[in-house]
Amino acid sequence: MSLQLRDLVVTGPSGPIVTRMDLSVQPGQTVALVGESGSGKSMTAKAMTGLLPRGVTAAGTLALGDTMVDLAGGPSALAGLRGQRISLLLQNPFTSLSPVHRCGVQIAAALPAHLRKSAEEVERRLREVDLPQRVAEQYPFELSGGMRQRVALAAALASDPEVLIGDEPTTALDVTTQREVLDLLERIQAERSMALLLITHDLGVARERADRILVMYAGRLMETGSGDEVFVRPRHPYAAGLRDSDPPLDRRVAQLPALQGSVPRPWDVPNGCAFAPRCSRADDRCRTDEPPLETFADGAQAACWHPLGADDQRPPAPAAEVVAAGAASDALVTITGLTKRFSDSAPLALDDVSVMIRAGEAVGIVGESGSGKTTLARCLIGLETATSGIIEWASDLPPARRAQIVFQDPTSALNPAMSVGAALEEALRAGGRSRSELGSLLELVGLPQEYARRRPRALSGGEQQRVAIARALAPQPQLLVCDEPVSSLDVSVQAQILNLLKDLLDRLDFTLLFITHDLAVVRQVATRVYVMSQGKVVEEGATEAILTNPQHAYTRQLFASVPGVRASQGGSSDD
Amino acid sequence: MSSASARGSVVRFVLVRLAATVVLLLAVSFVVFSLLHLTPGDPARNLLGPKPSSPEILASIRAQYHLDDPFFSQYFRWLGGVLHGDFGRSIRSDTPVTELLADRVVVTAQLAFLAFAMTVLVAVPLGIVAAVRAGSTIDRTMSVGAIIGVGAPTYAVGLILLYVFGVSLDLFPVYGSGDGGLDRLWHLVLPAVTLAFGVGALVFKLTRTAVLGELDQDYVAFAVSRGLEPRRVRTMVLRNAFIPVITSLGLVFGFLFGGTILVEVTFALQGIGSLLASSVTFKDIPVVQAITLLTAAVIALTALAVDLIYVGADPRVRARVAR
Repeated sequence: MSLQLRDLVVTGPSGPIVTRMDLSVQPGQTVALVGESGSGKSMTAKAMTGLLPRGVTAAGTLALGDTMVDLAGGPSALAGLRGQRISLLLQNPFTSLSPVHRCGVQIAAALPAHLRKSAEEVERRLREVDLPQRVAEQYPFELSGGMRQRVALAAALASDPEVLIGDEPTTALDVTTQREVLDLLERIQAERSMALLLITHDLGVARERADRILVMYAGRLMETGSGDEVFVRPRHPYAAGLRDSDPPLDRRVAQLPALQGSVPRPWDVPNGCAFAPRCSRADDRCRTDEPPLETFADGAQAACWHPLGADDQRPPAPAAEVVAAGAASDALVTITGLTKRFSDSAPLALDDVSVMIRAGEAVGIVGESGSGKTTLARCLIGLETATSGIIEWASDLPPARRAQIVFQDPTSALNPAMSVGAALEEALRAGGRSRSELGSLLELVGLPQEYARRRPRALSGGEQQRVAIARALAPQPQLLVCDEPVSSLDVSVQAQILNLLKDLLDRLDFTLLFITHDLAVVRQVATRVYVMSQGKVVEEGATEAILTNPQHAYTRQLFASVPGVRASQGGSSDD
Repeated sequence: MSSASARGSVVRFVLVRLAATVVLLLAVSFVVFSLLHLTPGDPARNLLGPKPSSPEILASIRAQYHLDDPFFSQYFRWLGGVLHGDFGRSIRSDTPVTELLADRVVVTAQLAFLAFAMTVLVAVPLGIVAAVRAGSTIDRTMSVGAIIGVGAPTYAVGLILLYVFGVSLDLFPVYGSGDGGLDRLWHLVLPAVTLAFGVGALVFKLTRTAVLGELDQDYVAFAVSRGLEPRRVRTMVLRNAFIPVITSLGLVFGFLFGGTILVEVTFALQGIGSLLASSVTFKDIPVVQAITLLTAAVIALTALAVDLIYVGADPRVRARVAR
């Protein structure tokens, strides 16, 4: 049965969160709902399952086959569909299962009534998601993230729904695990000929897995179409900007063509086209009248007064000249045989790791969770003490001048009680610099002077990360360690921060150690890269060499797991 | 790890925790014993009390209590007695402390249990209701009531209850512990309500917070989205919220047992609280020692019980213990 959502409007206490939303999914079809944070994609999923938070209401109709539901009726209106016919798979497998109930019990709870007591049925459901029978007796905390998400999938499918909504179902997983779970999802979907609505911020996942893609922005549908229509011939400037902001895996570009600004908050959405303030094609009409969703001859749709034609398509950014690894300069820091053991029962966090960083280089460390990359950074910066091994610095500067760190989540890395100016002045003092340099420091990271008075809370995620970078650079450290600095940011903001880091590397005299799980990102930043797995360095060398021709089996697997590799590298003709 | 060796580790944890409780109680007993020597003045004179003294009488007291022996040998002699239920004789009434305490412990224990039962049976369900209906009029009314409950001093609540239910409405007795059985229960209702009032308000707030925190979890949204019946979802939430609530209930029981003084004095109950108050005034050291040690033992054993329930209730803690 096909699912039809018509005229969805979701309204929160401070105004509309989703407006003008239509979508349909056919049995066996995968539709991806793509957008940055604040686009309203999760709220759409919650509205369709009656899980809206308090104070948020929905309007519109949901039709599944012959059943019509008026969404204004609240959660109870959906009670008949929820679970039995529509099920939802959430993002975080670490929180979506009850921690004190065994996995088998949680799967069985949603089975049809006559099967609830059947251990064989639970075993059959576990087998469907490629899990062994013993998992039924285990608690979620005893399983890895990927296994937990399989349990959650089995639980979501227990009531045999016709439609599955996956709200970022693989975002919290490592890239290799993500691929496995997506493959599993695809197989089960085909076997059950189930309709799948896949909500994701990851353009690669959407392009690789979806038959149809819907691009949302600020609570509105901006563009719909097949993967090729949306990513190869986008009509809407936002869809084009989103695609261009996504760093390419197959080449290094000089600058990512980033969108300016960030997604507006629901109460700040302007009149007219919501994207107009960030759009280079916007004119007066865009700022006053909201464009309707128009359908083109090929079936794609876009809500734009000035859609991009065939002639307007910007060619992909060309590969930049490869910067040779700075082989000439001396070592800034040499790490030899570093080992870290957190407890006797746990495996080694770092196992005989040797890394050498030359002055002026940009070195990348790539690895999945548990690879030891963050532990290495923390040892280097002095936040952890290694169990054994040597970290040898070429200079005898005080620690604050030697190395500084930028963390993944800028919101928790900045003291919420301290104004931006106070935080930066403190960091300047740590490097023995005058507070009068505050202005130039803000300017360096592209923030206006008046931000000094603001608190971190009043800043967007991207702006907060700029402050964190400024704070780390304030004492003029020789080495800047960035630990996943862009992985909690939206694609368009990620591009801005990557461009900023590249720009800073050109303008200032410092060395960069860039830690990430994302191969495409490391390709844009680092000249040399170390690949880590389970506490060991498994491969190292020039970024171009490793990412063009990976040698180690693990690096190859990592490379093959990147979503979108099949779509963008395989090409559409020979697929 | 095999389940047999995991079970072995849990048994080991229980034994270690038991041993720790014994060590703790020994330490407390040591401090309690030292009271006699830490109290200002000559221990012999203190033990004699206000009775007329002479060098001979003091010498006989010294001999009776072995006060001239080394400190530790006195302690071990005293501890040996305590382990056999002998806390010495009350200075004031010259009867064995154990005899003096026997009836009173029962009154206080009955009072504490009754107040505890009221707290569990009233505050916990109300906390759950308030969390499920967070933001409603019911929730807000109860939350305001809880603030009053936490803030109101016990003696004031006791006096108000006495005045309203005891004097004006004449529904409950206003004085004494009754003659046992149902009459005892009858006499203990108002004191227990008084005692449960402040503690219940606290438990209400803790339960509400715990349940509300669980309701916000992803697993609840996931359970609802899978179409589980509301009853099943509720069971799942309560099973998770049980863990923090049981911890607070353990602390509450210890507090109730040790915190009956004001209520006993207000309602003229013959419990260990009022006995402790008068014994302190009277410097009746053996009685003070016995009551202090008894209260400490109840609190330590409650803490032990909470820890064990915790291990049983939370598989994550069990796994940590088993490691």
